[in-house]
Amino acid sequence: MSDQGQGKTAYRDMVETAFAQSVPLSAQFEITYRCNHLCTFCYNSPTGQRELRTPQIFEILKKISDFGVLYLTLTGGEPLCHRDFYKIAGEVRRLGMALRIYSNGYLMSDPKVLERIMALHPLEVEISIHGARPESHEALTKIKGSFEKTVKAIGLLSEAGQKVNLKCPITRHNQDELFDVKKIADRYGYYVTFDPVITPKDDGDTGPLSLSPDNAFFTRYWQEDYIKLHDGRLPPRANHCAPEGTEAVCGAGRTGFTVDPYGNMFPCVAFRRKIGNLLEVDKIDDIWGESPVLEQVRGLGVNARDNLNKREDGKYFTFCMGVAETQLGDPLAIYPQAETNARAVRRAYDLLKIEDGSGKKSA
Amino acid sequence: MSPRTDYPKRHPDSSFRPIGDEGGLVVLPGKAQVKVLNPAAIMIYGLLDGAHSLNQIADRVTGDFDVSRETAMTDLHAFLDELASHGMLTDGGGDGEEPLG
Repeated sequence: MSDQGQGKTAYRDMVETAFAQSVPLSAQFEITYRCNHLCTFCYNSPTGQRELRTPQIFEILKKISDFGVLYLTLTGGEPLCHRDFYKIAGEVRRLGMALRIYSNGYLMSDPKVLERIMALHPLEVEISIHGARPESHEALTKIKGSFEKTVKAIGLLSEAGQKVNLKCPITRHNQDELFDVKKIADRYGYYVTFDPVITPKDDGDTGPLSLSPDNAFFTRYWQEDYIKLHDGRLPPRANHCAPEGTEAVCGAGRTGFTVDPYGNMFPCVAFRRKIGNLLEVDKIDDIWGESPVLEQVRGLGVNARDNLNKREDGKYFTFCMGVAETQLGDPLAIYPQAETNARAVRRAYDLLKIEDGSGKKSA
Repeated sequence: MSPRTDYPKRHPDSSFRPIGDEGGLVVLPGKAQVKVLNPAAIMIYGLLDGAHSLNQIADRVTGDFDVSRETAMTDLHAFLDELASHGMLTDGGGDGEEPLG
């Protein structure tokens, strides 16, 4: 046997096989859209329907577990705002799935809350951080004191030895303080993932796009700044949502899926084509292999990859069919953020004389 | 270290998934760790339901893989010892559950 640390190649091979055979290893469950933050760019679009009751959530978790999912992310909204969060998270563990929690961290600044979180033995906790100062972080969360609480939670998680991945969506508010965000992450021994693509809301509202960083920022970001911010790593040239060389542009409908607070199942958190409602099926197997929506989405993934392969700059694209569909109404349409990023990444590869995606520079 | 029962049973808090013909993944109970298992190991792991005996499992290994009965049993014991050291087995057996996947 080998584990992720000792056998990264074996693990990667396994993941690539899962991708090729459409074996879903992970799922995201948005257990509530309730949240204690008011982020202006949040993609959630509550419909006003009644959210799932806890017994219904348990029923769906059992179906997800029976389907063979290994990694289950509880998200929202803010998942800790669900009054039965600990029961639900405990059920995820009882069913044997590896638990990930995607949170804003606000409530985890309370040591008693943190103690309960740690008792769940999460595989990973993901925390959103929106800046290196209260002014920038709270310009997005709209909650005074949220920066201090989030950073305190990060510190407590670090003290407890919890694996944490920090996530920082890049906006006009924080684009000039990314190095300071990295310093916060470094202080606690964590890695921060910067996301340069702000997406529309799930209902198609493009308002959040006004928060996107400016083009001058992208020019800097995708060159030396990227390398410094990512511990010497070079900008990813290809789409990060699929193993390199695979036939589809991403794993939507293949390696994972998303469930919303109403029980609806989607191919991906970003690609909101309804596959079905998990309260209405006996087993997920019944729809995974036969859903016309999934068949179409898998085909679109291949088409999107083909389209990018035809473009001279296609190999520099990080392309999301969900963003394309939400923003332009066509999952194969090239949206401006993707083009801007591809242009900047290409420029970086040219300037840095990077020969290929292996991370080597030419002499 | 010897297995504690002739009807070994995997820890109920561990989940696993066979993937293609290449093996599978197992999430360790109570730990932030995932193990990669080879095809024989993931097949055996699926049979650790408290209903299959060691002899039955060794028969399956012998039938599915090109190994002698003696080698299969030796490897099986070694594998169970390793699983036990990672807390991936329960102490008892008997009330079988359906293998996943």
